Amino acid sequence: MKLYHVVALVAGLVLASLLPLILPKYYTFIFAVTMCFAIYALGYSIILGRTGLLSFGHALYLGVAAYTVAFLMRPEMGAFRIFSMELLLIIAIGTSALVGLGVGAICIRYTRIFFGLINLGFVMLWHSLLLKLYYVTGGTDGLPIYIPSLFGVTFSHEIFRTFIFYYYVLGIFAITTYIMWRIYNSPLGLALKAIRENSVRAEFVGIPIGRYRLAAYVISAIYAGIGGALWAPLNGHVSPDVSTWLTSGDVVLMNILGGMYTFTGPIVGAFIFYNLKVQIMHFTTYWSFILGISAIIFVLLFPGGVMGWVSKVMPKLVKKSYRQKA
Amino acid sequence: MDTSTAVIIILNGLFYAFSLFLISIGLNMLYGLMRILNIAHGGLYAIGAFSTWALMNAATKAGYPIYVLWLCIPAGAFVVGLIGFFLEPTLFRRLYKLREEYSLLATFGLMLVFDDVLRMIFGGSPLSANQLYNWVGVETILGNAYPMYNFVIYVFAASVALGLWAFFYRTKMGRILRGTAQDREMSTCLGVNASILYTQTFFLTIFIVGLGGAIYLPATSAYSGMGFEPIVLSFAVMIIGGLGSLKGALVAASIIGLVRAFGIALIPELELAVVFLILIITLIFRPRGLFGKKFTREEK
Repeated sequence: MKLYHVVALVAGLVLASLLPLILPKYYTFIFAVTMCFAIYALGYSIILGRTGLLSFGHALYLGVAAYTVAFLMRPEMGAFRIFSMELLLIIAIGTSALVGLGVGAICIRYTRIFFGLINLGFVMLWHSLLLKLYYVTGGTDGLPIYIPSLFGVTFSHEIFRTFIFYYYVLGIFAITTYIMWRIYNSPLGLALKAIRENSVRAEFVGIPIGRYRLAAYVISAIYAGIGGALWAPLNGHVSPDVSTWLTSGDVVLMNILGGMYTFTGPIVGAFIFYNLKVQIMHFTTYWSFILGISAIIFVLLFPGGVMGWVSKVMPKLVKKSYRQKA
Repeated sequence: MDTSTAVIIILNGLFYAFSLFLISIGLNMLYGLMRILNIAHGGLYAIGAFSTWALMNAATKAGYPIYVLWLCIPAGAFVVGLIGFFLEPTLFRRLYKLREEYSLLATFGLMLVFDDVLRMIFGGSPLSANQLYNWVGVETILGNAYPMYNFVIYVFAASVALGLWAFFYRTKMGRILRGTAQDREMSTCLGVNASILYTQTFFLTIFIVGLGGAIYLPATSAYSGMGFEPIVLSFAVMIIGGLGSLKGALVAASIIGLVRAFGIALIPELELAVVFLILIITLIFRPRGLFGKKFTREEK
């Protein structure tokens, strides 16, 4: 990390923590949701951008975590009903990591479209179970999610959604981003990059590609779980629509939009994607038309995404200004 | 369950299976030859159904006799071909060069666009055009009433399967196609013009899927989002049957169709889950599918 990284980070955090005081309540809520998706997209980038495996099924972990939260809050749980967000988060991380380990152990044996399609198979299996086992999962109606307590304190409905939970999510977002930064620059992160570039050579160098791919997969599952567990109380409700192959496609698009080979790309992508979606939904229902068009344009013209484009263009601009000075 | 019910369930399963077959065979050919997993294929299927509906609706309103409606089916497929005529040079030709992941995303985007454009034009409510369905009528099979139009579909799908088999294994172009799918470099060395072959294959596959959407319209209905469900199941068919296998597509489509039909009748809670379970189990124990070729190390 260079000095300007630290300065930018601190400035960003200060700005982000001032936002709820400036912006209308509605946008505080929107930004909190955006950060949940940013965590999800960031976690996904380690499997797509870093390891080079395209999964069409990561909404599975979003759904697993969200439903874990929903189940633990149900009145049927009796004495075991949990309202503490910290505890819910830990359990949700545990379940998504467990599911990720099990599913991942099967999935990582494949690459290319087989990897994508077996993930798709798992997410649709989960989706159809959520849909059809309605006496447990509530079917298409889904399950309600109550307001959890943060560090033992319970807040009112409005303060929770439009103010206090924003800071909670912001804190977790900062921590998870830092951890991901460390993972990216760790030997594991570099080994994953090697696997992406050439798995055969990586194996010859002595990298156990299966185990490393599995590690990346579980990390991405955990991040999706954190995103899902935080998103659920904000949304106040979960339905099987959380986990379909189409919602799994959303996270892929976030990564492509932002630039999947850059660290900040998925975060930027999630911000653009979700806020664009909210804004466009205000005046038209044909959101997926615009989404589809932009996906095609990005794939054909900006395969590096927004941040990939920035990182390519910025150095040139900087150099130009230097040259002009000289 | 008595025999007559079982027969009806099997027939229903086949009815469903053939729609999957008509979609997945095109997916299979596109993937085998160009390494494009064309998600937009579901959208093309929907376009086939919707354009046929528009034509049939117009023909009925204009008071044309019923046999004109039969012509609407190939005409609907022709509309799909026309859309392909614009899409192939503008979009798909660029995708051939890209990595699989990127082309997958572009076709995913195209699928979303198709779905919304259809919703813009035709609205959100289901549209049915069952004049032909009623005209063909209902007969009694082993004591159960069964629509005869379904047999039109069986005959059609069987002839598509037979025709494709003859095309692949009995014509020169089919041989060239199989060869190019196996080894692109070698066949271009032998003088095959790959880009023309790609264009031809593209049109063949979208014409088949357009016909599929068109011929299924009288028996079902056209509704927004109709492309999404069969496309996922067609992936399953493609994987279970094995990539690049005509026989595999037919067998796997029948398996999924029958499993779904019996699932709906016996365990309605798990009808969809069983299909995806079959997909997962196939991928675990036989990743190349029932009739697929063995992978080389690079492909793994």
